[in-house]
Amino acid sequence: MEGKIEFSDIQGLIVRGYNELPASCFLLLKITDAVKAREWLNVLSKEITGGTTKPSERAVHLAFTYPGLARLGMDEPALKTFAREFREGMDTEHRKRALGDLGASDPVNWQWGGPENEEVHMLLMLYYANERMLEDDYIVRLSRLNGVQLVQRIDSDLSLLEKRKEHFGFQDGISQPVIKGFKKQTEPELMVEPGEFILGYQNEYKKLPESPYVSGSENARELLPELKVGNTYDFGKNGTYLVFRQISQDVLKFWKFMEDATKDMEGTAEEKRVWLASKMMGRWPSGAPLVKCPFRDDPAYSDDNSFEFHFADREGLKCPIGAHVRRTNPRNSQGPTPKYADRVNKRHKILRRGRPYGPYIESSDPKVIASHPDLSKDRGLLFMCFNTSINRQFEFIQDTWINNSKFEGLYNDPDPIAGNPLGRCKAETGTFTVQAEPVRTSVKGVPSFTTVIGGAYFFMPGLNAIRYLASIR
Amino acid sequence: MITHGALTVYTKIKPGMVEQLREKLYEITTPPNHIETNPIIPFINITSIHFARFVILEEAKDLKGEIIPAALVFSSNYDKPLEHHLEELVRIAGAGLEEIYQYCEGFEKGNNLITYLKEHKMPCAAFYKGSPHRSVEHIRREAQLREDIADFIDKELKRDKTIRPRALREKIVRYVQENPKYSWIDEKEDPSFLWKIGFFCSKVLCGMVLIPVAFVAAILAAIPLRIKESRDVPEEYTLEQEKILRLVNEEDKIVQNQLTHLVDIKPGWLRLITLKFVLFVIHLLALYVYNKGRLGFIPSIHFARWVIIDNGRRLLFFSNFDGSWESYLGDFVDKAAEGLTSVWSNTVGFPKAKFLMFAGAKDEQKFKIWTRAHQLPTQVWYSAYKLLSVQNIQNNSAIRKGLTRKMSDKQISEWLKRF
Repeated sequence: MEGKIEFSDIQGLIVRGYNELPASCFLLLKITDAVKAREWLNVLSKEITGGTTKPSERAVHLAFTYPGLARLGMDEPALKTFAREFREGMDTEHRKRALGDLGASDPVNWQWGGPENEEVHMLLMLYYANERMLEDDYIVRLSRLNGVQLVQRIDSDLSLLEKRKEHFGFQDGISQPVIKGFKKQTEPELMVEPGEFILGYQNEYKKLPESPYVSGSENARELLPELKVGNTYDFGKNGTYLVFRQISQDVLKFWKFMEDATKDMEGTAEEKRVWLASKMMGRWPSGAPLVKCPFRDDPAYSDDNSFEFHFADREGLKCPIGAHVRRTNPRNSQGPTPKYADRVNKRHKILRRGRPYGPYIESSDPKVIASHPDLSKDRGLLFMCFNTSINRQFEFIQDTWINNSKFEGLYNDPDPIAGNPLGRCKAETGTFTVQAEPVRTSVKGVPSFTTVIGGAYFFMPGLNAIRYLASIR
Repeated sequence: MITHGALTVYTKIKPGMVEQLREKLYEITTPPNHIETNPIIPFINITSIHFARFVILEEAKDLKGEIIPAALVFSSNYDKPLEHHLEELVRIAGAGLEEIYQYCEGFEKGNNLITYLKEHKMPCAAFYKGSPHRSVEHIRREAQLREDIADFIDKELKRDKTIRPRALREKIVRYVQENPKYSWIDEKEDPSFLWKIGFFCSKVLCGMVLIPVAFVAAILAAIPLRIKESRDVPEEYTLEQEKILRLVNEEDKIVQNQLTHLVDIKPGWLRLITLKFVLFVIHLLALYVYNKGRLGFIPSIHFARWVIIDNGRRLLFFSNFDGSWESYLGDFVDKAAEGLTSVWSNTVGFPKAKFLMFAGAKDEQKFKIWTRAHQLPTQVWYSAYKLLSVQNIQNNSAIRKGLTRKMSDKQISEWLKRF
């Protein structure tokens, strides 16, 4: 099972995040005519960027929702072999509770992907070196859509924001899993098996992840790897599940809360605001981790990801127990031993490929933000991640770590950055506990600063699997 | 001293009455009724119950094809003694229980309920409790106490940010002592010193007997078990969407979740004896070793029990735990796979085990599918403290205990971290 990763069959977005292609747009598509759509797909399939080459001008990627695969003509027995989460979709009644999509984030209020919105079948992801190339190519692409209709276009231009900042002003995307068999290497015990992110390879339980399969036809035989069970072919090989959520960030609400909550403390207003926000994040705006820089920001540590919690900060005196980076990646803190905790932690990783959207307001001062001409425009994160088990990876992180007010013995503390307190404790607001000596500071009334406004689960097939889809008769 | 009991009442349902019974149970939780306050069984008023559930076991066939009639199981995790629990149950919910048990064999309205419930009581093969020696009332009161002290601390900090730990603690202690609302904190629910000595002796004795017995049993059973294991054919399950939805639609509504799980025990006396022995060992471990809020390394289980039913043909498992099904099962696989495999490898369809306790549950995907395949919908489920995790309960108790104890500076600083 230690098979070499077939980079040439894997969509390149799994391998790289395309920082050098800052202009991007995401097209939500609907299939109106399956026959024509397959012809269109057949043409497009030759353009999709594989994992071997690093593109300098353009990258094209494609993923499908469950209704999309059905509409394209995949048969019932094959459809049944996909993961339950993917088949049910992101907006079911019970999943709302697990994901914290409650209140303002309820899928009925979504702009796309919800029960009130038009059905989405495919996601076409386009990345370019600059905005002009994007617009030029977009016009051509739109005219070539055949049997396929545009539902919505969502843009993200990385060059509008300072490199890799998110809208609250913090450096993002620093901690990513280092995958075995990929170019980047680290200490072996921290490397994650490729099967956590790509189907067809061993996962962290030393097993092959469940992969969707099709029964034999001529095309399947030609394009897909044969499985042991008679006449079935591995459709999932080199593919993965893609979680896509559009998360709106309320920058004014965020910084206003920080200002109000720290009124009684000592220091300048800016220092105090940034201090509390950084405590909530677990990193300073530069990205420097609180575990290493507990008192003030230090840009020298901005890319630092080589920290742990068990030995350096078991009690959360530097990085609070409930801080965003601590609960979305508890590293070695969850026992029984730090070494073992590291191992279990690797079973709940996601590979993130998100990008911010909307205009950036570069200030933490609520007064400046309130009078900014761009304030009325929506901004936030196009959250994207890859995983082979949505249940055990993305949904687990969302439910057991982010929205869980009881995380590691806490009482009413959902993730202050990304959590929704309306979950199991049904509280309008949460608490954020800043561990300290002699006694903690308890920040009460923390609302949600983010609202989910769209989302869906997608399947991102390998290149041969896309060719197979185009060949369905 | 408070100890917890696990009541399991197993009653056959009268032929043709399953649907009426289901309707009745459904009424308990269906709006405008609420699980806590419904007129049939107003659970919130029954102060001896930590967790309770009603489950219908549908008519089924055993491995030989014989029919096992439909049954109703009522289970509660209660504060002992049983007499008091049953008396309270019948006093508060007698009429509702009559409405329910009229659909069960051997009961007619007007019969003595307490006698009936006792007659149909089943013994647990193993019972784990996450917060031993705390009554429902104390758990609730301690939660309130902690909240009040936390608010008090916030006020004190506003007044004086530089307050020293010892001064802060003294203020807290005085605040609690001077408020008659907290006069209960001196009530003793913990075991006495004498009891602890007796408990320790029984633990040593038990260890001395059990370890050699287990050793011999392992030698005797290893080869026959391995032969049987090699012949086991693990089942491939395809989960019905409809069934899964029925389960997940009830999940993740409060801090805790519940699991009801029922599976056939593999045929033959060797499997049954092995299972009984393993559960007996787990029962003792839960009693003597895992009695501080953790089962193995799992810190999220309030109560769990295994009950062997239908003359050794089926194994029933009830559990009440914090957080999601996925995280609970994940903990099983990551932190307790050997223990669980040694229980459930004696049941049908379980992922292939090696030497009773190895492999099995380590096959994460198969184990999770198998668990869902044998999970049953729970018609009625009640939690007496739906906002508290096991860790919260432990922490609240430690806060209360710390109030009346002399402390060094170091201990004070540790204690203050609990808020």
